[in-house]
Amino acid sequence: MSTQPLCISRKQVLNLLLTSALLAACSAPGQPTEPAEPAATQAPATAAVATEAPPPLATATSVPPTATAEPISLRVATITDETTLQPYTYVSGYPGWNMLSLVYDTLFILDTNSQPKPWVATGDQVSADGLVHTLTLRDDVRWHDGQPLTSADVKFAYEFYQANNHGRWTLPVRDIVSIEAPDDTTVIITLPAPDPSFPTRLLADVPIIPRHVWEGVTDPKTFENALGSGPFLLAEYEPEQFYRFTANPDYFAGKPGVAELLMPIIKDPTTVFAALKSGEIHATTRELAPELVAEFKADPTRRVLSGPGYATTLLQFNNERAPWDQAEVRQAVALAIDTRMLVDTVLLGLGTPGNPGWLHPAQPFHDPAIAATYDVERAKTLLDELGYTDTDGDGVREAAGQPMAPVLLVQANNPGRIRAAELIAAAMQEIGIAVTVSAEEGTSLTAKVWPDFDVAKGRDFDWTMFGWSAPVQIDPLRMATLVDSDVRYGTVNIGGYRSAEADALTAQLRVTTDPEAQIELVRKLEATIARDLPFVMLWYADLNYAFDPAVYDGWVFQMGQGVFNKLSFLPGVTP
Amino acid sequence: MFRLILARLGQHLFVLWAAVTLNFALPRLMPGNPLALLAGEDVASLTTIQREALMATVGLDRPWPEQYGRYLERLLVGDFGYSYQRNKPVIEILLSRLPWTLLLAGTGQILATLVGLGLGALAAQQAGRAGDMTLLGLAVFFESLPAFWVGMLLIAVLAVQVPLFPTFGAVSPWEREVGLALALDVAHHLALPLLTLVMVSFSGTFLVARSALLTVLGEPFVVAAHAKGLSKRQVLFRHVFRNALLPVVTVFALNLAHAFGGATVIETVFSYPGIGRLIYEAVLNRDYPVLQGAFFMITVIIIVANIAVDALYPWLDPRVRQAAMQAEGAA
Repeated sequence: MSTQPLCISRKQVLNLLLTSALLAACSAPGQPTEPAEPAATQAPATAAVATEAPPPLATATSVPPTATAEPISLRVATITDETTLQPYTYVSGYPGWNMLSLVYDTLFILDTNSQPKPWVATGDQVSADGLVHTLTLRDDVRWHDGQPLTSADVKFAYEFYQANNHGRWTLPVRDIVSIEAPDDTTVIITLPAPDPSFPTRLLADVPIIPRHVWEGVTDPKTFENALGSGPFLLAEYEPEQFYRFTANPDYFAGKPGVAELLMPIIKDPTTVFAALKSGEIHATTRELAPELVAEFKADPTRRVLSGPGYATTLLQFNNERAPWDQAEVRQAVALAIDTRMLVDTVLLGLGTPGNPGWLHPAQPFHDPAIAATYDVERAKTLLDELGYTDTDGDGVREAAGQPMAPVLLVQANNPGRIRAAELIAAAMQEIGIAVTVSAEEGTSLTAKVWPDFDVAKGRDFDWTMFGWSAPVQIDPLRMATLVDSDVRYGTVNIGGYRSAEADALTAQLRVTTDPEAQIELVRKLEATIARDLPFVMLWYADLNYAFDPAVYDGWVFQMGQGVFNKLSFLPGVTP
Repeated sequence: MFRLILARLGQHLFVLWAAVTLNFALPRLMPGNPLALLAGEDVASLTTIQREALMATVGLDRPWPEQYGRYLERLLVGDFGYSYQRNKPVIEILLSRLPWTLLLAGTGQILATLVGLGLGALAAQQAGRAGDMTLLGLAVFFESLPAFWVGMLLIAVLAVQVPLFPTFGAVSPWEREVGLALALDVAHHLALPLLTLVMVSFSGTFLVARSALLTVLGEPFVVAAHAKGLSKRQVLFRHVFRNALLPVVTVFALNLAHAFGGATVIETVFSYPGIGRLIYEAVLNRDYPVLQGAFFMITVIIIVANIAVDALYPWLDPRVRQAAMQAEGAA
């Protein structure tokens, strides 16, 4: 054997190594997707619950005539493969749920301000005790096969989600006491307790599925049927390649603005925007990176639609680990971070610096009196007063004999956050805190910060860069989930923050349905968060979308969420 | 000879078992688990009991040895399991991706080998002179280019600035081409990823071919062939090439096998629906069955490639044949 040119055993060792090398290589940084930040359900609530039948929808007759009579075939790249796109198989909150909403309808819809408004239901009459919701349905809504959509379908759908576990809808519908359908256009839903989030979290979020199609389905995850009632029919799906939707000309809210919607699946961000530049696609569900905005704005053949984004980026402390368990220490850290500079440097100014109380300043619930302070000297004084000084002259303060030297975890696939983490580390050096930035692959990082996505399982980190998707902001009442110390309510309190004051406020929020009282409670909670700083809100990145207006320019920006929504395809319709 | 084959077979089976075991263990050794995938987007609101029930639905609540036993058992009957992410049998997913990877990686490696071999011969012929130095420099230059960067550059220049080629995909999906039009469409989409692959991978073959040719060119029998009055071409193709071919074939077989999983970056940049991209996403999502299935397939392909190379050697080089005979005789 030794006479052979290549030793077999060596090759075979190589084979073994290859497998492990591949694995290692694959977990290297660079993946385009966001780390696990479960987009929780749409929420909230607001108080804008319509208690009376609102004015009817603008109808198709009020739609301004489109510039061209040619049927439009629009190509919008999607960033994810949402598999067979029915309620049990779509994958991501965004853009998966949004794509789903093109095919299926909900009883309410979020308007351009992300407030719930009547849609298939024309109104929601709430009983005085807040428990019984009587919904009236439109009588002109039809499934894609021509059958009428009736209250029986609504009852069936809600009960189906109760019986067949669904990550997003089972929890909100589980505790419904009863759903009745006394006639074809009336649905009566009885709740066990008043629920301020009901219109947003249920009515505007839960898709109605046709009873005559889904009846008898026992394994919804493998059921392949996307027959809905929405503005588009799913005509074709080629895994990993594309979706083709065709307009539903009989849609109750009016004929969609495009005849055909083609959605190629392009996961690589660079490729998506190259395809947009070359004209192969006309728009994309992916928002522009800040450095691309100027380029697309300068192109006369493309247009950019921008607005505030509700997705958050924050510096999360482990509130259980000394010395970060002390509010004064966290305050000192926050005082030394210049969030304006972070937005200017990392986002090229295309964002809003963080409100220390959590809510986006554009959120109507936000208390304008709450704002961040940047004061390095005060930060130092605060630490000096705690007795955390640099006793051994190495430039790093000691707290209880231990150097103040946290490890700051950051998602390796997110260059913006890595940049911010480095800037924060530099700022901390100023006040005598030695931060080590450690970039880790998303799932590995989450396993430390939020093991099994279950805050009851504890945490093992000092500081981490983190963020929550838009729905957590849309419903201001969901603030409670960030800070409640009871793991049943504080489902995303990943820092283990504990405050009797915050708990008392969240307990009240859970049962308050009066809009004015809600705002007052939310503002008190904001003040508590801004004072205790379980995390430092760093920024809310603006959302920028580029598209080719010559092909279609009906895009509608939905507050905090972007342009890929049902309303963008229904010109002239205002819910 | 029979004993030799038996011994080889044993070796390959051992390698297969070891790889299968690593394929099982490595994904599970990574921090994190596929819970987010199983639970869907609202994983945060699940209760601990719901989480555990979810893990139990795919058998991940069982102890490792039990999971391992079940995994081996299923593998023996050709059952690769179900993808957590895609709700589909792994085998179905792999088979739908395999043709694209075969097309891209297979064509790419063949072209890269031909280019490397040709340039290697050209360089060896003028060893030490300006032409050789230039080619050597170019090869090292291309070797050092990152594939994703080359791909992005090609897209920027040949798909956006001068829109000659498409920026993404393997076909124009909704065009529904057939026959010749389909073949042209596939070739059109293949051009840029293929060019990228050839650019970044020909230099390995080039360097091996060049140095093998140089070694052979210095052998006495080449001098003798020249002395016999054979033409340059005859010397090169009949005597030199054949002797220099062995290491090139070895490199080709190994490259080809590695290309199945290794075209990940190119597949990503061009949104090409191949195996590499699939593995990458499965790692991020901790989709264990897909990882196990894909790595198993790659292991098998590498072993088959090795067997093929082993079988080719004696045919390419009579000396190997003799050595094998002697080894058997001695045993």
